[in-house]
Amino acid sequence: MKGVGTGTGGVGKGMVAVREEGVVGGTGGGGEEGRGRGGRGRGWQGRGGSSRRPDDEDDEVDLRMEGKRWSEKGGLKKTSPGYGRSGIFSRLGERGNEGGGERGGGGGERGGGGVFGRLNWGRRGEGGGSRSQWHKVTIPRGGNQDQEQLIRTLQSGIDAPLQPTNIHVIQDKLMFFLDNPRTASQLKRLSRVDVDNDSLIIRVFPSPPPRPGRGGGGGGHRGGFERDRDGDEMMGELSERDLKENGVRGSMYSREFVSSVLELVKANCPELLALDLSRNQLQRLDAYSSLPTVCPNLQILNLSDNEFHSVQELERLGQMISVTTLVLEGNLFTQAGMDIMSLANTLRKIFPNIQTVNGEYLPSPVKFDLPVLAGQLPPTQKGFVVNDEVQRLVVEFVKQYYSLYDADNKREKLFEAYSEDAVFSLSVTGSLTRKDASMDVYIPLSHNLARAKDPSKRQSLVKHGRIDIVQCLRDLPPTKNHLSSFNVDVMRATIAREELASLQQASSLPQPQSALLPLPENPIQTSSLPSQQGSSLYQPPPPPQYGSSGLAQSSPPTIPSASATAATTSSFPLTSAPTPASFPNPQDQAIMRISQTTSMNLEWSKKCLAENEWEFNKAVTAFTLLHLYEPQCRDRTST
Amino acid sequence: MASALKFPAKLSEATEAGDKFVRLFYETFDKRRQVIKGLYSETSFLVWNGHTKSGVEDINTFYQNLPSSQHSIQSFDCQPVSDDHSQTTVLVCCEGEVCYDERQSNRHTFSQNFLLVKQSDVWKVGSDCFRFLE
Repeated sequence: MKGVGTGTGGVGKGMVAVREEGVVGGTGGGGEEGRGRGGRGRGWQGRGGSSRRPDDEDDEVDLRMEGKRWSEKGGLKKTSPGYGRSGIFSRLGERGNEGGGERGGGGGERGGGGVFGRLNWGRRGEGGGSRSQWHKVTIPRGGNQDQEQLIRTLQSGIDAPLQPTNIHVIQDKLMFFLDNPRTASQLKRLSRVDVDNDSLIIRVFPSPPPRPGRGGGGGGHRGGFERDRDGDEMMGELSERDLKENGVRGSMYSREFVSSVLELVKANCPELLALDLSRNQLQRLDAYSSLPTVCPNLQILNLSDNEFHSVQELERLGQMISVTTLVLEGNLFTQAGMDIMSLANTLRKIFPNIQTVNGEYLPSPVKFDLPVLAGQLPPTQKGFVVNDEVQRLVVEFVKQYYSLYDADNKREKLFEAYSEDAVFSLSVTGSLTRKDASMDVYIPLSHNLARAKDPSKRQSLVKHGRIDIVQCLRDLPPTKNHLSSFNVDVMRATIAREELASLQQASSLPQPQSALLPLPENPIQTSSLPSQQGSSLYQPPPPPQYGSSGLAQSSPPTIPSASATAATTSSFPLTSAPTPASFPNPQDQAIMRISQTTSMNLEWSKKCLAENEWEFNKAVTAFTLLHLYEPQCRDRTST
Repeated sequence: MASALKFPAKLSEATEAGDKFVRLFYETFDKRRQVIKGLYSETSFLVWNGHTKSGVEDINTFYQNLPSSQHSIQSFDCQPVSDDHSQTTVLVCCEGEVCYDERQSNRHTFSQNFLLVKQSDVWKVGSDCFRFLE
């Protein structure tokens, strides 16, 4: 059976009992056998040989290795899931070290400790009936009295026979076990009843049976301890040292001691699955703040029967993601009649994956199948311009435009910047007008559709045609634009072979309006000042100090094409570019040809050729480039 | 044919399109952003504070990933873009404030410009250019 202890890999990696009790657990009825299992299940297996059933061992393995199999056996299915779901427990406590006296009869007491006892409860339905009858009785301060006298006193207070088993003293507490439930319940009622003019407090709790075979005092403990080291050596040493150096109550909340214990756990049992800290009289968890890192895989945490005043104390643990099962009962905040379920949200912050508390399933957290949160706001980037050529072109246009706009009495020259069919409107943003009286002059002109509701008024606010536009611009107050405050985005550079020409000399073109490529995706510019926002097609007029101008034109200011770029470097307004006024026959043929090649319609083909000096190859190249930039052109070509 | 319209007709068509669009767009964006993709097409293009996206799917994904928003439009303007061929195009320029995640610290003044394109009988956003003014 020794093989069980060592062979169950789950032990070494899964559990630690940093407490004598656990360590000794295997020393129960059966020598080697008990010991072997002690390495894994500890304490629980340690119950007396008398109460052991033939199938104990199998059960135990099931218990420990997989709760499922265990529950399949019946019994547990209806019982609370919290305790003993996994048989892998670690008991980290001081109780086992509370002094020599305990060791004599202490086995029982320890055997009843913590989770292990509850494991037995859980198995009640399986038929191990005798075990379930056991109760442990604790009489505070009873250890200072004459034991026999005390027992007699107790017996005198109840009808049922009082047959204490395993009487022992831990510090000043007298403890023993009873296997008669009737006696136990009567004793419980006796508590705080005046006995011998003294209010006697008697605590009675269900418990697993006492561990027999440990009556030999300290020696017995030692033996069990030594043997158990087979199961988990680290625990043994820890307990031993604990004994020697710390054998005092309170050590488990001594930061120094706890941290050394946790260090050992970390070093030796990083995969610890369950930890039992119950009944350590803990009030604070400061010392355990490293637990999440020490036991990253911990699933079961038993903090029952401590003295935590509030559930917030658990927050000192930080966040323990792995914990699914928690035992908290017997603490001050749970005794206050608080519904543990009301703590669910608090507990979930600390134990996000918590499933059961005190054996009760928590309702699963209220969740909805939605992405938790849309993303963050992407960081603002610089102006986007499709390529450098466009950038140069646009920047050049903006510079020249505003140099004319800002200069004294030169706005008439902007006449050249607009096509005959240009459209202009300006819009004043409400927030600016409130702040700034200098905006007043713009307000009557503001084509802000958010305010101007009247259709006829709306119409009148839009200037159509460059004469009107320039007149309007001329009447606006002088401005000074700060180009450095501009921000330019150009979404698409659609090639407009003629657009330069149109900018430069719109009037000289036979069809000025169509000389521009009126693509749906015009480049759009936004500026960095509110007053300058808008597209390059349209600029709301800013107050003079912002220095921007109202500008609208019916077409993109400049749209470069491979063939046009060279020309754009020249200043604006430029002198006219030569444009054929009529198309002789050879040109018509070329138009047909290019139309067939590119599937553009005749008008576009003509423009394309005209822009490319009527050279067929050049025109095709330009067309290809156009497609690279503007796939959508294809949609237009055949219309 | 749109191009056959006289300018006043084009203007009032543009005004109506822009007017309806602005209200629809921001309301949809703020309250029903999941359907905003209906306003875009395969040829749509977005520049959002310098980030570029093209095509309805990319744009939609980008927008869905933005935090929840509350736009308040202070001004908008629109005008027809010269359309001497098949497609009717309208330029829409908006300016206002937007607050993300309902956090005042996340409030920005913005400018957003659209080119609306009439595709058969529905209008789509051809270009969408958004920028914080700060």
